[in-house]
Formats: sequence, structure tokens, C-alpha cells
Amino acid sequence: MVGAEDLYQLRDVGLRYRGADGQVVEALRRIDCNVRRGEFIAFIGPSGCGKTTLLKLLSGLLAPSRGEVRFAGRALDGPPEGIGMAFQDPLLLPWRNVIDNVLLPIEVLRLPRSKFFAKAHELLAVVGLAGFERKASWQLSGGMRQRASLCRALINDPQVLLLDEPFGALDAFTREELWLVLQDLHRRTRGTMILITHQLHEAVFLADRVAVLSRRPGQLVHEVEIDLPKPRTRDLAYSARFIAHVDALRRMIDH
Amino acid sequence: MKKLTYLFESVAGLVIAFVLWEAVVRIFGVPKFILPAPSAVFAVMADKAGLLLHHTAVTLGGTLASLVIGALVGLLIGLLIGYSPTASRLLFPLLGGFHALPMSAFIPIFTVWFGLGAMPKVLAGVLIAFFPVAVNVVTGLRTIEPEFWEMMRALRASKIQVFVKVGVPRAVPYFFASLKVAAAGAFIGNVVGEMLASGAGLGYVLLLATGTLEMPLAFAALTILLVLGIVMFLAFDALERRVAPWAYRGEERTTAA
Repeated sequence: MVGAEDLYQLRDVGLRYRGADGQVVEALRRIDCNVRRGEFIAFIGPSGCGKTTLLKLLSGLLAPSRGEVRFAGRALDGPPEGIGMAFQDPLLLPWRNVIDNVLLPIEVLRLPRSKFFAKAHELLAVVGLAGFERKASWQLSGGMRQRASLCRALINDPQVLLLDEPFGALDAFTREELWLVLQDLHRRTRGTMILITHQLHEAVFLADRVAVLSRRPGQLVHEVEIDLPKPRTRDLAYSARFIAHVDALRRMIDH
Repeated sequence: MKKLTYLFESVAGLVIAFVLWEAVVRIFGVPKFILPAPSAVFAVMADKAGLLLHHTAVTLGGTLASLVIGALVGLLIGLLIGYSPTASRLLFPLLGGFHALPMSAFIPIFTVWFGLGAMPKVLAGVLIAFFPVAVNVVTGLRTIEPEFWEMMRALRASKIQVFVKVGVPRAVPYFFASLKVAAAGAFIGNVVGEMLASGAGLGYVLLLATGTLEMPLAFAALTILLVLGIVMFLAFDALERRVAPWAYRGEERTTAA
């Protein structure tokens, strides 16, 4: 990664907002962080530490009350071009079939759908949904919906994929399968991926670098490079080196 | 198979009601000019089939006209109110107050404007039918999940795109669900209109028959109205499931399990 350009630059980013009860909540404080192009970075932390808020800042859905979020060299004001997002809920539109859900971003951008059919089929094949293109999205299992949601996020070749606990609602087996799918997508697209999760195993399995947030107000307290070789396998997740990483992260969060 | 059972059960409900009715009339010896037995009612139906068929067609035609116009007007108002908060503040309270008025009160006014005939009753039907459609469409548009808004905003969608790609499809089952209620409203408007200001239709038959104490004929008209009501309800219920199967996914799953 030597010499790699930074895709995101966060300088002294803080966010305070007035909650429903009128109290001022400080969600994030003094976040300084760069995200390199092409890297896979995971943000972990205890629940309520502002992880999701951080992702909303990175997507431009929220503006910081202090500091600056720069994406591709420009300060964000609203969602920029070139981001793809996947949420804990796949948020497929139930009245659309799978391929029409994947092509939704193309319609919003008013690009010709026909030019992206091949790309949509290819993505669906990579995530294991070949043959499901015309299925009604509500007829899919939770794991299949999340696969389709990843394809939707990637159809437009985004520079970065923002992942907000995308596997949080899935069972353990499906989740591990999707780790492999996501790793494969990262290897193929060479894009930047930013994952928010509270699952330590998930962060270590997928990320090149893990950033640890403290309890509210969320601050960056640690950054760990995960030096395990890629592509990573399920067996690796039970190796001593892997578990040592998970264990170290756990201690940092408990501290 | 499931559909056939449903149809059978609907018919069975009607048959049971007729049998009970017949039994009550016979056991208590109710005179014909108070409450005729179904057997007497069916006899009149067979006897005056041509006349009843003609007036049924008039009522049905008026009801369909009211329903089509009412559904379109309701859809347009619903889309407007659902899209624009300003339109919502201007129109929604007015609409609610308007709906609380008895629509039959407008029929004499329509008669002054348009004379006797089809116009007053069709308009009365429209006035009753459009409201449930408008309210339901508004509900469908206003209850877009905030997560969908966020997902669409992250895709840089404009407000109108969210409205067209999420709001409108989401409102489709609400629209079709409201048609059942609107059809009943259109029906009521037409029958009342026929009683007050028209020379044709089942409402007119009902009025004439009670005026001359021909109770079997009056109940024949009522029975036809009931059957028409059931048929319309079942038809729109079936249409609703066909148009938006995704909205009934939970139901399907529970019946399969």
C-alpha cells in the first residue's frame, strides 16, 4: 500500500446533535483517519459508540458538526457520486424482482438499463444468485437478499462500498459464507471497502486494517493492521494467529 | 383449489342466510306484505326477470361509472396530498370535513343542476367513492420506511424519484384495497340517487314496489343488490391479490406452513 492515495481524509471530525428529549448528544469526537484507496477497513466498537453515525458521515447522509470529511479530495456536502451502500436490512423493493432491484441505481442515475444487464448478471453470478434474476425479491431467503443488495451497491462500479453491519441479521453459517463472497468481490473489484461491525471475527476475517472506536462519545482509540495472508479461508479463522488478533481487539474494546 | 373452496364458502353463507329467512317466515307465519319468504322473492324474480335485468344493468352501469371516476379523482388527490406537504395542509382537513356530510344531501342540488336521470346518482356515487381511495393512497405514500428514504438518498435520488420508484409502487396495494370500500360507496350513492332523482335502476324499483306494497318485488331488488355487493367485493379482493402479491407475502407463508 506504499504510495497509495487516500480516498477519505477525516480531520478532527465530531458530531453533536440534539436528541428527541432535548439533550445534546455527542456521538463522535475528534476522529482523525485516512482510508486508502483499495483497502478494506473495518470499524468496530461497542454498541452505541457511533459506528453507524460514522458511516453516515462517510456517505454524506449526515454532515459533521465539527471538522471535515474529504472524499476523493473534496469536502462532502451530501452523498457524492461513487459510493455504494449496503445496510443491515437488504432494503430490496419487494415489488421488484432481483435484477430490477440490482438495476435500481442505474435508473436513479438515468443511465440506459440495457448497458448494465450484462454487468448485473455477472455480479449476481459472482455472489451465487445466477438463475434467480427474475425471482420476486420477497421470495428469497435473508442471505440471498443480502447478496442481491451487495450487487445493487456494486452495479455502478463505486469507488467505495460502505457496509453498515450487512450480515448482522444473518445466522452464523450464512454470515461466514457471505464473508467469502465479500472477500471475492473485493478481490475482483479492487475497490475500497469500509465495514461497520460489532463482530470481531468478521472484522479480522475481512479487513486489512481494523479501527477501534470507544464508547460514546466515539473516539478512535486503536488501529490494527491485520497481516494475515489473503485470500483468507474458513480454516484460517480457527488458527492461533487469527484468534490472537480477535483476542487483542477484544481487550482493546474492554480496556 | 383454495379459490374454489373460498367461492363455495361464500355461496354457502348466502344459502344459509336464505334458509334461515325462509324458516323464520314459515314458522312465525309472517304475512307477505311485511316480510315475504325467499321462495316468494325468487318467484317474483323469475316472473319479472326482464324488468329486473334492465334495472340491474342501469344500477350496475351507474355504479361502475361512479367507481371509475371516483377512483381516478381519489388517486389524483391522494398523489397530490401524499407528495406535497402544502397540498396536504390545504386539502386534507377539508376533505375530512367534506366526507362527514351526508352525500344524499347533495342529490337534490345535483338534480337542480342537471335534472332527473343518471347524472345526480352517478355524482353522488363519485362523492362517496373518491374519499377512501384518496385516504388510502395518502397512507401508502406517507408510510415509506425511513430506511428506504436513506437508501435512495445515498443513491442520490431526488424527491420525485423516491416518490415514483418507492412511494407509488408502495401505494398500489393501498389503492386496490380501497377499491372494495369505494365500490360499496359508489353503489350506495347510485341506489340512493335512483330512489330520489331517477326513473330507473334497482333503487327506483325498490321505491315503486314499497309504494304499492309489492314487498316480494322490493325484496327481489334488495336481494339483487346484496348479490351484486358480494360479487363486487370478491372481484376486487381477487384483483388486489393479483396486482400486488408481495403485499400478501406473510399471509401466503402462514397458510403454507
